[in-house]
Amino acid sequence: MAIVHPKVDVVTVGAGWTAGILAWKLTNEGRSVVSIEQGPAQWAHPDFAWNHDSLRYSTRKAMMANISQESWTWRPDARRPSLPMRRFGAFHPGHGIGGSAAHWSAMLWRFTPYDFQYRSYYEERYGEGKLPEGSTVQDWPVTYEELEPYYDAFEYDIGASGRAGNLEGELIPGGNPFEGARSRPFPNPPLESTLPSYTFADAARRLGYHPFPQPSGILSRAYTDPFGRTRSGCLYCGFCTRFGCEVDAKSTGLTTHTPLALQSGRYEIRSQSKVLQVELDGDGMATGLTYIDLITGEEHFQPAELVILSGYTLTNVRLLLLSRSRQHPDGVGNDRGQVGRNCTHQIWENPATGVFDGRRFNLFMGNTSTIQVLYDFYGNAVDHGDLDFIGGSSLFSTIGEREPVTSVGNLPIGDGKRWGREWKEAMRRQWDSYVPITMQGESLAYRQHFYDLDPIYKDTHDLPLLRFTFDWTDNERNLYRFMRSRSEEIMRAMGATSSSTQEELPEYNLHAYKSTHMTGGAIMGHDPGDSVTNRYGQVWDTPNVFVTGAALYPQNPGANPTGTLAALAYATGDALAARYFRNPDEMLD
Amino acid sequence: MPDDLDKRQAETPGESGSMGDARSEGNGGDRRLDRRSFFKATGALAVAAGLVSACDTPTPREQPPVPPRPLPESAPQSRVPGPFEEVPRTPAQAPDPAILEFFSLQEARTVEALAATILPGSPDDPGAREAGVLNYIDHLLSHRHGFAEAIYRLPPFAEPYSGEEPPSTPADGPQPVWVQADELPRYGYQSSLTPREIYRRGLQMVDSYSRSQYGARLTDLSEDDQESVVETMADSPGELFDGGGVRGQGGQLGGDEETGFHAPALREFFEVLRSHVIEGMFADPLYGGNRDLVGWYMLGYPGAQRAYTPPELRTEGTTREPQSIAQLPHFHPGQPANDHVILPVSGSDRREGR
Repeated sequence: MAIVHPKVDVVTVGAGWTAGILAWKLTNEGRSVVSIEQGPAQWAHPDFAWNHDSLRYSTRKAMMANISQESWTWRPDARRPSLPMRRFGAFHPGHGIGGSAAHWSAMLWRFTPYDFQYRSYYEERYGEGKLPEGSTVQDWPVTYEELEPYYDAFEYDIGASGRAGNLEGELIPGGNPFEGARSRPFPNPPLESTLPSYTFADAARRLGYHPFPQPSGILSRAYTDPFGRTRSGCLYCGFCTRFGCEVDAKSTGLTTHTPLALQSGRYEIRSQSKVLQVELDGDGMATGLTYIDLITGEEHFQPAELVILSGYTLTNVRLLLLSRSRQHPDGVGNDRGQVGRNCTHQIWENPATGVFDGRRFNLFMGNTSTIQVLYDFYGNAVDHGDLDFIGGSSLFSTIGEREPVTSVGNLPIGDGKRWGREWKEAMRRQWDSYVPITMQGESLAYRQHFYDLDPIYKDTHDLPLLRFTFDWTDNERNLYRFMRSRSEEIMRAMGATSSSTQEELPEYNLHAYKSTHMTGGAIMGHDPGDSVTNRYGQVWDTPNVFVTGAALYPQNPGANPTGTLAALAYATGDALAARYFRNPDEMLD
Repeated sequence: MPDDLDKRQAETPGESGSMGDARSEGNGGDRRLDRRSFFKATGALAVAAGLVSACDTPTPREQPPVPPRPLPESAPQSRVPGPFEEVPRTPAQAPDPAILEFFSLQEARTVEALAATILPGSPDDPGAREAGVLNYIDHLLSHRHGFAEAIYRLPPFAEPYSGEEPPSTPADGPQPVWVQADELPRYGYQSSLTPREIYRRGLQMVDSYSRSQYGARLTDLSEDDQESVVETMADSPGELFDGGGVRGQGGQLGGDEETGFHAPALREFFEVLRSHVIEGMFADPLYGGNRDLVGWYMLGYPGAQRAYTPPELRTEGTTREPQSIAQLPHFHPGQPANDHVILPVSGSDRREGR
């Protein structure tokens, strides 16, 4: 029999960033909140103080979810078999307090107004025939303008770094001219960039493009946030993505929202505890979460008025599908067959890589945010009239934090032997002199790409793994070719001694890291016929269950998802705090 | 494909037998094999070796159309530890280079010869041998069967096939997951072998090849001949994805059509070796390789530093000397670290949860 805990107002899956945001907003209103976190407790001190260990964190993925207990399966299409991701590859979900954001790269984007009106934009400008066959892209139920105050509040709360490109409609030179209007400038200036990033920016400007520094969730200087917490600026130490920050310069739930919620005394985190399912009553409403204490193996039940699925995209979708009852025979949120739709990933590739003989760029310093970016090829910045694809991509210069164990294997750049004297010579000559240009491209939603439960593979608690059916289509391959040409053009202008091009988008696979930006599966929409949740992540058919995170996204922009999922959590938190508990179990509008 | 399966069965020894026996029958003496027949021979060996561990293998005539898979060495049902708990902590000190924890002396010599061919060096210009890569690999394999990161190891494991349709499987036996051989690389790492098994079997395959081609084991060959062996390994057939580096994270360990799925293909063994050479050469010296920071000196990488300044990012080259994590300055909130004062950080005032 499960150990039953006293009932609380809110229980969340995981203690990641959106859980921290909601716990902070709701404990402020006097609500009691418990988070069930499968990973360990972790804080900058002392857990990250001695972590400059590339082998443990980058190669062996010390901060990632425990894939030996639960993984995910993949197949390219419904005719072919699915196999599990047996070792980390295509994406890197984290665990522990702070969740994936504890090790994120902190590239902090607002999606643009276009991203929220995706389907309307293409249909109005080019006609319905422009959308690729099978595409199930749709408009979001929120607009950029509605989310702007939440983006703004979040950026000031964490101390975002960057240069505004559009202040209340006025374009600011040096910022991103394609971004939506901001009500305020960034609270902190942009981070320093790597040396080749300036070469990239100069070359891009000569070609008529508009480079700007990467907006980041990393503090570029010491910052005192609106709650009186002062944190150090970035040390550019070179151990950032896949690592926790030892000085809290990288904003995460650990630096801001989670400690604030804990200070209230009304928030509890149970670490090393893995959620099995959402429990449901005879009316089809949620009653709480069942979980396993991973230390003792005991089963627990945490009753709550409100259940928030605030895990990683794939965790949330899986829990919806695993939580069945007579009222929800196919899972919570799935009464109309909407769960699992619009599974997307991202194109993250280096189309061109240059070598600058004799140069030493110190690329081991800095981090993934120390770059210059172009939005000149992002979605609506491009005229798609004569192009054989829709959507677009950001394009950016060479990131820092280059670590030997994860980079020398790529050498030599260009032709040459990957072992022996030739390889060694390439290491000596090229290791700190090679300069990739990187794209982060949109991934559209298609009917044939979806999440469901795997019929064969299970986790260590004998529950089915989540399966995703996904592959690239011609739209992505054509977008890639377009971006490859732009990358080559810029690389030529950068004056590399030699350069090498990846001609085609490699076929989708499980082993090569792309991004941890899997999205969809529990998408938000205007009504129960086209989505799983409303604009607040409230599940249409089970209104006391909410979903946070990128599972809500109808399709995947060519930008990191974290800024938007945090803004959405702010909006949901405010709606819950102000309105939900007055009329519990009713849909927010 | 059914033909190929029949052939595998026919080559499967009935009861006992070892890789050694099979080798002496299959390609003994100093008769030289061409590359292709070499791969065929080792493929048959691999299947044989896989079946030996299922001790009660019936005679070929009585076997079902598809033999049941032997349990991998550390599948949850077998004798070794269950779910992986945590990636090993950064060691407090490097392992003793004078002690071999896993390899036999001869295995160690072979590994070192292979590593030194993949990343050659000399006392003046250190490579894998001088950096102690062998020490790194030996220590790695001495714990948890060589697993140092979480791996999903629950069955069933994939079985490759070629042709239009997967082979039929009797309804009452274990149901393998059939995957078209040329599709398999897209699924990434799918091996049922432990890293220890990969080394034990891979090293036997290398020595068997070396004897058949050159009449001597690898460690007795000239440098040129050792290079030829490694060249063969690196160029051997089998689809391979982008191994090594941040994208590939090591090689595909599972099978290609030629070897079956029960032993590493030679090329897979090469990729594992190469990724371990990279780790041993360039990971922190606390892990047993990168002795005297030779890997980092070679690249001009300063290793574990607390901080760099914006002017350093804007300048080419660095005068910083490489250092290990063990040499990092101590670091407490409120104290100076390099040229920065460290402000209080999350957790310095509390420890929540457990």
